[in-house]
Amino acid sequence: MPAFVVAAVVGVLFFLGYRYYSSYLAKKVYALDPAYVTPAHQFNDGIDFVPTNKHVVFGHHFTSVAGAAPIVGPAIAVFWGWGPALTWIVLGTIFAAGVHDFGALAVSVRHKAKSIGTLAGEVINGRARMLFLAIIFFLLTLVNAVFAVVIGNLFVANPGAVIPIVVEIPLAMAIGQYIYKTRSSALIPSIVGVILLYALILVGNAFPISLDGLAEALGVEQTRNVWVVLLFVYTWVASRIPVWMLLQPRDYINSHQLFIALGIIGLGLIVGMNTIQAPVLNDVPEGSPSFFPFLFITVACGAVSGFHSLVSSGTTSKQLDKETDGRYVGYMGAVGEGSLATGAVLAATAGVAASQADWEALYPDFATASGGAVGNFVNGVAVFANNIGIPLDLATIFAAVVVISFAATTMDTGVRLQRYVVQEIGELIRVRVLARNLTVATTVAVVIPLAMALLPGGGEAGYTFGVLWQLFGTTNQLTAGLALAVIAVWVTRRGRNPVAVIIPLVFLMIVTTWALVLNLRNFIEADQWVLAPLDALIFVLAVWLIAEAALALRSAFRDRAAGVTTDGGEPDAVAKANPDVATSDRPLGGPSGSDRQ
Amino acid sequence: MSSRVVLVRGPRAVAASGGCCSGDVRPFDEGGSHCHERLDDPDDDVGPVYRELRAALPADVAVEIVSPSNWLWLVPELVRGGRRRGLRGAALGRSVRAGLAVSSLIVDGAVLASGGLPAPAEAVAAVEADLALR
Repeated sequence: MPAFVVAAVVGVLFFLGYRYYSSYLAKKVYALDPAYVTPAHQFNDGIDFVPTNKHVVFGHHFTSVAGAAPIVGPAIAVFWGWGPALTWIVLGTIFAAGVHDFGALAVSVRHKAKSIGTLAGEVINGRARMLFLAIIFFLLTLVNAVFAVVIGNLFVANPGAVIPIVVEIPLAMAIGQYIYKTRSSALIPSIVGVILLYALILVGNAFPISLDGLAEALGVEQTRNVWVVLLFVYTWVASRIPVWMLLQPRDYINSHQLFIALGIIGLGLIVGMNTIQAPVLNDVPEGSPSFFPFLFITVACGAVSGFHSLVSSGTTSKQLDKETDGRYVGYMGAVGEGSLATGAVLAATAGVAASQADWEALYPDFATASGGAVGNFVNGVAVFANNIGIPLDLATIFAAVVVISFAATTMDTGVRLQRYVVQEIGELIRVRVLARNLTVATTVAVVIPLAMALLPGGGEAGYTFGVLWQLFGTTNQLTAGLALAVIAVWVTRRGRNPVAVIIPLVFLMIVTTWALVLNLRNFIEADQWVLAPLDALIFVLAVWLIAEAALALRSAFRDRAAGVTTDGGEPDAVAKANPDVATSDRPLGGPSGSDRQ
Repeated sequence: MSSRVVLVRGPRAVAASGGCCSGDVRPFDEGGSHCHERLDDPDDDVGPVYRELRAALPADVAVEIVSPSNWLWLVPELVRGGRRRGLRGAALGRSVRAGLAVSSLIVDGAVLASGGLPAPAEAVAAVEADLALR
């Protein structure tokens, strides 16, 4: 089937999802009110809280949520065939991600733009804060480990990408210095940065860098592992320097690359009219993970991602001018992410192979499929770029540079956030050295994911990567589950129909726990005594989350049946600003016992 | 809406992101991710100017704060506004480049300050003078 037709059909479905389902959510579930005084207006300070044009907020939101993760998951998930992967991306985006991202934004806006972690503590209880921190800790650990492996694999497979990526670091730092010192436009230096980066592809192609010799001299079996160690040494340093010095200017460059990559995928599909070579439903070899439940945690960010709730409730909710803008910003952000995931599916099924036999050679078993997935995406995008006249060898390095840039920036941010989480946990458990000593906290934040990334198993086929990615997916879906539980209780307490939220919540909890149980059994049988306890720990978090969510929901339904409203207590600033809105800012979990009359 | 005033931000410590799985890059106890405490950023001088402008200008004049990285919105805004003011060719190009600089003040496409903002009171006077001209 022509890939362009699939892209067009998905585009139409996404449009219909936005046009009709998000409208239903906005009117009936989240009951958006154009007259509601949003926190951006209520706390308007010109610093964090600023009422902002919806197109501007969308630009912030989309570039904050789109990155390497919606590429990696779908490129692995086509192992089960493009049909299931694309179906979950489309349905997951429309009925889970849209509900989740939009809902987190809507609830946060109604509660002083508080973040979902704080709201989870309010809706459930104080333990939820610890649960949230624990989930985030594991999520960041796995994000950092997974992306180190992704980058390591790509450097090994594409030695021509090493020079552009390495030189991008001083290039971004120079741009940061220039913008910071001269206070001039970020656009022109960052466009020059992108041009220089792509010019360096020619240099990289002429002088490919391989660490095979170094790995051999050090007695390291896999060259990838040398890259992984180097990457963590680099992120240790990068997470200690100010964000304006490296992270921010590199993000400017990446925001251009995001649109360039999306444009090349779209244009290449139209010009080349590539056809999908993968089967709709792949006849996977015996012993492979079954697509149910593993597909739904493998496509992590492409369908639904818990991390989006952090962005929705972290910065986006502080900028919403009108509450009704939340539909466009939150739901369309999810659709944008789904579009990137669709591009990844098409690259890994239509771009990468000229025939079904070629494709089957790339996806013979799950270990090979997961180990080579990102490389398949890179090669697929390279073919699309080749369709519009870019030589194939340069196009391959271009695609690798795009993915590595996204993954490296995510790693930088991830290690920095991990350090903050380690410090916060240090505060909670009263271990002063963890909380106060940056060197110790950063080292802990680096060593744990480094150990995960170096886990043995699978040799070059990348078994460890496939496993780590699934654990990342489960943890990410748990974060989404936590956010959906908060949204569901909030909707229920306001007397509206919570089914649209509860269905993705229940579905995610089922597939997550199911996958964790199956994985636990496999790890124990395979004597994987590092992965098994980790899996068990995530399982405990999942069960804990399910229990807390079920109790909170039961309480919400019971209160609703008893006619208990969320009114009560002294109205605060937001309520005073919205005197006609009965449910403006009541405590998310409803009135406490002492408040009830 | 009759007019639109745009302030282009300076570099912000909190504004970095890393694509999917990114976050508000601040320690949690300093307002990152979990909290929403205000953080005055000494490198970002937009806040006081914005507050003064918002207080002084009528409600139908929009005052927007935009990240300098948001060129997808900013460039068309500058081009449309510049063309409405009769700018063409090289003059329009210079105006767009000036408007894209960090810490810029733009009124309906006219760049009143570039690379550094005036004091809040001066910014209000400049914007009011520009709006009164038309």
